[in-house]
Amino acid sequence: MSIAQHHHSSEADVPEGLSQELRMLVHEERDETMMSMPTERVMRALGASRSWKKENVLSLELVSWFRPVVLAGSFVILMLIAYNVKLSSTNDYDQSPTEMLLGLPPVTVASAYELSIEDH
Amino acid sequence: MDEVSRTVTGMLGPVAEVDDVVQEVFIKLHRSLTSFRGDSSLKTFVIRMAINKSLDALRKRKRARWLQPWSLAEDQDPVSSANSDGNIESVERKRELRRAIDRLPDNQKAVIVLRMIEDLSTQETATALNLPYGTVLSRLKRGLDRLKSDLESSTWLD
Repeated sequence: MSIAQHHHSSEADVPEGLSQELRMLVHEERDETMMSMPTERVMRALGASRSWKKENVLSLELVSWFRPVVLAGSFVILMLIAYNVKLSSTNDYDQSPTEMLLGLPPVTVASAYELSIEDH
Repeated sequence: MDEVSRTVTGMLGPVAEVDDVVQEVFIKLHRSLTSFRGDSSLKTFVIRMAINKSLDALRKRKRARWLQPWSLAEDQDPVSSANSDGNIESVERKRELRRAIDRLPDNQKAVIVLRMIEDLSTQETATALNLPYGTVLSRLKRGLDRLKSDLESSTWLD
């Protein structure tokens, strides 16, 4: 197949029916959007915003601010978990990282039940 | 003017920001006419600007939608606010078609708009989008396949 033939066949790959539907759609949408009267555009924009419930505006605003906080918080928690796991796998002691951090003595099942006779 | 407004509407849908984007395109055109070297036709030059400005607007829209509450982002349906003259079937068909276009990835959408709505040739589309000829063909094919699969329930497709 020559380049010219290939070019011609590729031009014909576009379904004409669908193209016409798309053109009609965009033509109508353009006429609706680019209305000559600016007041109509303003009213249409107002109509879209009117559908929001006024009493929910504050809560919606709060939710919109909270959304990035949730993501940032999740990220920080994941980082802490990863750090904790890494620390646990690298230390050779019997203590957990939390116990080490707080300076607590190692607690085993045996030591927990060990009676201190000297105190009595 | 017609080509620009059609291209921008094709990319963005029937939304109020079409006006602003068209205006921005003409402001940019006015500023950059001195840098126009005539490598391509003026129409291609203007359409490239319209596509670039539309892609900027789509990116801004995505960023704004990300920051919006979920409920509002879901409620926004530009077609539902559009004029609903005509019978229900016709309105529903247009709505499906717009949804299918909006679901396309931006790079495929640009090719579909120029090739199928603006009726540019594949070579002109490639020049306008500054892409190789083969890339335009592959994006057109992928975009068409996606459009068809979205609209396969409709009987009016060829």
